[in-house]
Amino acid sequence: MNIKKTVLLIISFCLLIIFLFPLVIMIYTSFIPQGTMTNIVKDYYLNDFEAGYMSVIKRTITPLGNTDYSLVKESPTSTQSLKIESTGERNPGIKMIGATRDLRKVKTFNFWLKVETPNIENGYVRFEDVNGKFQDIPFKLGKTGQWEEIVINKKALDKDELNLKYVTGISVVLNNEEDASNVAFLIDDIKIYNQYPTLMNYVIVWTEDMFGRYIINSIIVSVTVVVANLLFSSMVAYAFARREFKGKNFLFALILATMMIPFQVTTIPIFILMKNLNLLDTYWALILPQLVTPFGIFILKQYIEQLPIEIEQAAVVDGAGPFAVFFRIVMPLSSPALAVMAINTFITTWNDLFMPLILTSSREMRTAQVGLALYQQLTQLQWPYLMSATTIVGLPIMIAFLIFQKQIISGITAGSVKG
Amino acid sequence: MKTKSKYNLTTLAFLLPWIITFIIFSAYPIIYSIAISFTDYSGLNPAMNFVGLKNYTALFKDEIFLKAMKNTLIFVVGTIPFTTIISILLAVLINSKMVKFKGLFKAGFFLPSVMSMVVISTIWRYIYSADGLLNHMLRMFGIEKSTGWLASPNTALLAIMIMDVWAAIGYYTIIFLSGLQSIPEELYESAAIDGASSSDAFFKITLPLIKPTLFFVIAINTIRSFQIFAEIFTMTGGGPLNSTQTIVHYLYITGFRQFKMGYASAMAYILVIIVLIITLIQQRALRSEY
Amino acid sequence: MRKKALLVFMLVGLTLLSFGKTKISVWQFMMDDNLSQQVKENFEKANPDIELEIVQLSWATGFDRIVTSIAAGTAPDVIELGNTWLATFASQGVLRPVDDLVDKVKDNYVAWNFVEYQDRYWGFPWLLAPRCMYYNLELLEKAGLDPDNPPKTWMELLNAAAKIHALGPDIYGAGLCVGELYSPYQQWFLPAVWGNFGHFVSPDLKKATLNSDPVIETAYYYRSLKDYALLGKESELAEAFGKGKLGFFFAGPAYINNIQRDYPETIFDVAFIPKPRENYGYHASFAGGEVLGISSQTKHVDEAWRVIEYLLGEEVAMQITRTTGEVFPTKVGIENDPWFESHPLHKTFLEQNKYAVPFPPLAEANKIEQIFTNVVEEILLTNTPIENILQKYNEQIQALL
Repeated sequence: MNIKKTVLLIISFCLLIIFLFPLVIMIYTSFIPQGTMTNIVKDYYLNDFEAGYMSVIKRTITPLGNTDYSLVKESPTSTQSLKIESTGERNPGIKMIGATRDLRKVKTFNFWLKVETPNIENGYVRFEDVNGKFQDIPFKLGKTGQWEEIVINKKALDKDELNLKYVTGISVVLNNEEDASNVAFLIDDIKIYNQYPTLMNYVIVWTEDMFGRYIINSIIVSVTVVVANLLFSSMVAYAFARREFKGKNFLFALILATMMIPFQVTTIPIFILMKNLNLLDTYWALILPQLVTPFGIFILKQYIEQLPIEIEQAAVVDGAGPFAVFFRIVMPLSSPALAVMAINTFITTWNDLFMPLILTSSREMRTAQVGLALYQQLTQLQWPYLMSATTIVGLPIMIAFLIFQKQIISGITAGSVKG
Repeated sequence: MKTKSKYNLTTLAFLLPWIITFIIFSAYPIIYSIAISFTDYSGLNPAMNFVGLKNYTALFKDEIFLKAMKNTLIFVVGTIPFTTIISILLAVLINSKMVKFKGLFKAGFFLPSVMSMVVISTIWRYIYSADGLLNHMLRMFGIEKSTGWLASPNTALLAIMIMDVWAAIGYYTIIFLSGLQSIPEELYESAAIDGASSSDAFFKITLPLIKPTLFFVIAINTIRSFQIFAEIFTMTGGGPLNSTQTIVHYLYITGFRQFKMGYASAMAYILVIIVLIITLIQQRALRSEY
Repeated sequence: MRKKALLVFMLVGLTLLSFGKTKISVWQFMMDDNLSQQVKENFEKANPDIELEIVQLSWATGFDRIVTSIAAGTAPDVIELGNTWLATFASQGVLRPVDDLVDKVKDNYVAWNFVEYQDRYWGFPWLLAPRCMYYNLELLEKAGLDPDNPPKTWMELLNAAAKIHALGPDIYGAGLCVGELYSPYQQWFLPAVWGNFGHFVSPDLKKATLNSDPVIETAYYYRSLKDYALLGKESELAEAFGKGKLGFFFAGPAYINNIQRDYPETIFDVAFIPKPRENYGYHASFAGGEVLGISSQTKHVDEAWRVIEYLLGEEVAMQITRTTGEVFPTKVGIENDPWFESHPLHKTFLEQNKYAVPFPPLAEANKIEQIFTNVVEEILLTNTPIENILQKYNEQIQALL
């Protein structure tokens, strides 16, 4: 018996892992600074000069001022570095170009430097953004003719002087204060260390876009729809399950049929309808059509039908009216189905993308899913942001699930059925 | 006589929420879309002409539509049994006294349903991609594949079906769990005393008593699967070579990308008729089983 | 009392003021919220009589929204469209012909062939997105090729791809797009046909010529490349390229930033798309692009034009280029902008644009695009004889002309 139990438990856990795999990936990669699921970029070289393609170096590094550079077989950590030589230049240096980089999640910017000209004691690193704004971070040099690693901490950049989202140029420049006619220095292993793991994705997603607002919109819509369905759909379902009326089968088939019509063909008429009712770009356009959903009616009808009718009959004998029977007996007994319906309705409303995209236009009316959809523009799928935005948007559903799931198991107990 | 009309009024009161919302929000779109299915309406150009049943008859000569129909049927028949069987077993497993950490499993199996289609498909695309996880695993067994799973006409539909089963199971497990609650515990206890094995208990007690839920799940899943769209839209766009073209995706493409809205509507209503017939047969079967 | 009167006065004044404004609504894909806000503020400052509403559309469903609103008679005044869609929209009477306005700015912008349909202009070319060839320098070197000298002709590319493919079981010479709607034919197949001096329709757009010799030759070449190629969606190919497993792939400028961000270790460069032979054909590329059109439902043509004139301008268009790195302004002489000096790869794309050809202006372009995707997929994914494939689809295209 115990072996069986253990085996079952192990099987369940294996299944659980398979099921949660994408979710785990989603949450894990929402903390990575850069890269994708299969390639997490914790740090990277802007250039380590090992692969000596001059064409690539030429398009990624420009010399500043009257300066020239070449590759030399010398390096503090590997085999090659870049030698920069200038004549009559007060600020000799190089500028790294060719890409627009998002530096908001950087921890440090490092490079190795060896200055061969004596009496040069300091320099600076210049970060330039897409609008041409820049910030200079000074650094001090040690002994002439020795390799040393310079580390620029990102904290120095957090002064709102430039837009770190779009950094287009990083320059390393020396101060030739004594006006030496020839300056020569070597640079190697220019490297960026990212913060890893980082909460910045969440901070950025939250502050850059109005996800707070989007989530409130979604909550308003979803909660209203769920509450309305708990009441209205179960009322309608009760009528179908327990009461006799003309055309019952036809009406139920009609309800089922409305579930079967692909929304793609009703999009245009719904839009026209909402336009004529003057409801476009309002909560009402998203809420009103969902007040009673066929799914809700269907699941509750099915559940109420299998409830033992004796309890209701007993109540009627005791003098309870139909509404009393419905609210006091049927509703409480249906709580597992109500919970399933609530969860389902919440998820469908929350995850609905198409209708909100069509029926709303202003930024203030966007739902969470619309915000998410607009977050991934064209080919610019930025994995960490997408995943952190999705995690934020998914959280309310998890909470809703935790609220309702207790009801699913603690429904009718064996005792109450026997009555 | 008076009680009769009072009874009917009460029934009407119960039905009222649906009647009102149906008349205001559903009737017009439904009538509109049925009406345009008999026209050559493009969607962009307001001009439209009545063409009778031409759209409907043309559909049965449209090779892509027939292929979409076939793919949809394969999808429905290929996913529903797996989804149903796996989720019923999982529900029984979670519900059984033998498994601890019920809450954990319940949440764990369900959580994939909270992820939006965008993210599910993003992650699965990495699994299926030409240089993705699946091809890497195959390479370990010495199988070379230079095509992504979603890019090959032979595997694309299968790949989407697998993903769909994965994404749907947690959701149906929860519905089955709710259904299992109506089975009195005593039945299992007395069965155990009679020396019935757990598989006996499953087939003799659980299955018969969970039948209404089972039929409900199958009905819902049938309706949902016939309308398979989001997965196709985000993962393959119906390709390659229409190997994942489904009815709803094809009608979407026809209506919104090729501007034959009338033709698209006709497709939609053929689908409704097919699904309605199947569902009504299922409902009939359910009733006779009672 | 006086306060109240003042308040009433102010309210009346405000209402009058807002009634005096014309509201112009622009639906677009390329500008994010920040830029839209900036554009709105700057534009309204310079044009106090116009209230500008900029709505951002998503790539997944924005198109459906445009169609829906047109069907409901509430189309926005200014619509951004992909250039392949223009002919279809024009043929459906959705757009207002703008020949009268085009004359004012014709010399200032390029790519007017994006917006021509049946000898009239239906919009304004806004942004350019040509395709180039990305190549991995390290793989070229490992395969014994000159990394500074990427293939320039079809045969060179085929040989290079074969050599790179021989480097390892999971290394592929080239990436070819299949399995999605547009990239399979756009990224290379159709431009390759053009580069080979071929066309799939006759110059008068009346006769399908998909079964003509240059197309057949291109198709044979394409199929021969398949032996060394990884087949998948554009994003999958970009991923494999980023991981250093792909020698060459063809795509728009968006991947310059993407690859450097997601796969910074890969050393790559971009070059013109190869031409058929040393002394035959040209480096043709697909001219992707975005255009701005004026809806035929608008009542405010003049105001809409002023908005478009502002959006076309260097200030806005160049800001989109700088922040996205995916598209370039259509402004004449934009290559002199200092931004291109510090973005040499993007500059190559802009130069490639000289050889970029847009999709022919056909009313049924959208359906023909779908057919083209099938053509490419059938060439790459099946063993059906090339002539049969082209013959079959030639008939389908002919039926749509």
